[in-house]
Amino acid sequence: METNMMTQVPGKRNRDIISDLPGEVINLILMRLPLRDAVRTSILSRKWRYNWAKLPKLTLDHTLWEDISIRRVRGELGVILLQLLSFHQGPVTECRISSIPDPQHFPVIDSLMYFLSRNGIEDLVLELPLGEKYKLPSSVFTCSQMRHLVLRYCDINPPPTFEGFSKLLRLQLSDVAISDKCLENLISRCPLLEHMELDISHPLNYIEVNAPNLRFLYFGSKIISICFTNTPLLADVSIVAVDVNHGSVERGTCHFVEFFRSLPAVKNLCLGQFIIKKILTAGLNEIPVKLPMPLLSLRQLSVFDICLSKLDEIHCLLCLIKSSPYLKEIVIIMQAINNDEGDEVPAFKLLEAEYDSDIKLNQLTKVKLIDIRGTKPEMELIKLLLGTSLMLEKMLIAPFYIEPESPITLVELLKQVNTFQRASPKAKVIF
Amino acid sequence: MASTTETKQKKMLILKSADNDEFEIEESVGVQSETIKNLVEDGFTFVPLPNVYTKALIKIIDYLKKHANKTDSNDEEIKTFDKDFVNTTFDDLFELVSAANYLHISCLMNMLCQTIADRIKDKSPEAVRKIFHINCDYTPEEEAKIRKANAQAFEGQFDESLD
Repeated sequence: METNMMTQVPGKRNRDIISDLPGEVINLILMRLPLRDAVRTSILSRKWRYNWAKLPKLTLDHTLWEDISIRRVRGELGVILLQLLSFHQGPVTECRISSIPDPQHFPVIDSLMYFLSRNGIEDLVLELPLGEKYKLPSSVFTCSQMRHLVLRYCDINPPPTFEGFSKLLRLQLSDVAISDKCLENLISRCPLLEHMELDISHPLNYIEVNAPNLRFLYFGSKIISICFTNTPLLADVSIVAVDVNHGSVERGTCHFVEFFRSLPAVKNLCLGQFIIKKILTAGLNEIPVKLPMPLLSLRQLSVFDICLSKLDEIHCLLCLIKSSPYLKEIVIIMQAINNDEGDEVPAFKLLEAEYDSDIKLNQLTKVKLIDIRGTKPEMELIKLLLGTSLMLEKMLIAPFYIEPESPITLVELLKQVNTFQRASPKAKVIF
Repeated sequence: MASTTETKQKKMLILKSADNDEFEIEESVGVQSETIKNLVEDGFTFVPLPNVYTKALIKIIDYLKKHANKTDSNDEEIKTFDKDFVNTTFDDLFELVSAANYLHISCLMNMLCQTIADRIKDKSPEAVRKIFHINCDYTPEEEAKIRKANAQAFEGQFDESLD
């Protein structure tokens, strides 16, 4: 049988094969090289002259200029980047720009953005240096093909003519400056948006999230209040902002019941104590025993920085647990700095009453309790969860560093937990 | 639709290489290739591959079989297999990359292109030419002009080795 493999046909050895690979394969190889290495292939032969220049994916970062002295980079970076682009042919669908050394190159980035906006950019990562924020030029807001947008250290202020990114699926903003109103508009003008991670550098007052396709939200900024007006598909929600100085919210606020009513699809929910406080605008009386609309999709609930001796916080936690019939996992991280002990008795009494009621948790299999100090309400919560969870498999208790003057030593804590009745025969308690 | 006897057995496909060798494989193994998947969806069970030679096809079937049985527990085993798979000559790599491209097996394409790219990275243009037997058809003047146009890409020390 005749075979065409070159290893068996000596005459085919030493033949240039790579140059004759299909264009798309050459593209795939060059895209896996630093751009500098790809540019150097232009010198290989005539066939290679423009191969790199047709790449639809560009990474403009320190690998381009790492062999050039810092002094020259300062002076010539603009020339280097603009010259590269002047050779480029065809669309650039993906571009990643990072490690630009300093703000004096911002005008070059303006030109880059203009170039990208006219060449079909779909996926843009723009990570700028710390310090003075780069003001995003209006050309960025004309990129109608944008699907993924990641911005770091930018100042975002869309022009009045901005019509939205009609194809945007993913938005990540970290350490950006943007006003409440601009952020709200940006979100509501991206109708397909599915995934959003926000970490705004300054405190926000209040935003309404109108995102009919949103499935994932991570919110790490300081904010006074947040409201979901149109988020029927939102399944993963983390609002983990730390406290912000109290301010008055001029526009709307969101109430406890409404807040959860507007998240009908939530599956994984992670809330900081601070945002719980914020949605409890009318205080304790606002929290029902159960939500009028149960959280039927909720599987994992994480709350952190919570202080169980505070009556409103424990009320809120119980309400969420009782309103989530399919809850599988609970993670509770206690407040690390406990500066306001307060009166433990009411919270303890509340939990005790709950234990005596006929509450049953049918789906809960995993519980994690982090930074437990052994306070009476904490112990009562452990007792409650062990005594009412019929399917519990694992409870992890991670104690906080227990000081000599703590109310309870670790051994006592262990002993006490061991005396608690367990509703599930499979339940294991791990320390 | 498949008859009852067929549904009890595993569905099989026959692949025919460019040098007319035939290989029988399970359908579930074959459909990792987009090209084969499209043909299977159109009802074909005999798949001629006029662009893929026997030697490359044997290796690719090996790869597909290994990756079809991916589980959480054999992750390490597959990594070792992949590493051995690409540890071969450039001639073989190019033959495989052309075949994988024709067959549209994206994970294999990624791995092969990364392997080839890693062997070009940091090399001088002269070394790349020698490694791949690329004949430079520029005049010295043209070459100087191109170097000058993107001068920063040619600055610094490069790897001159031919491995």
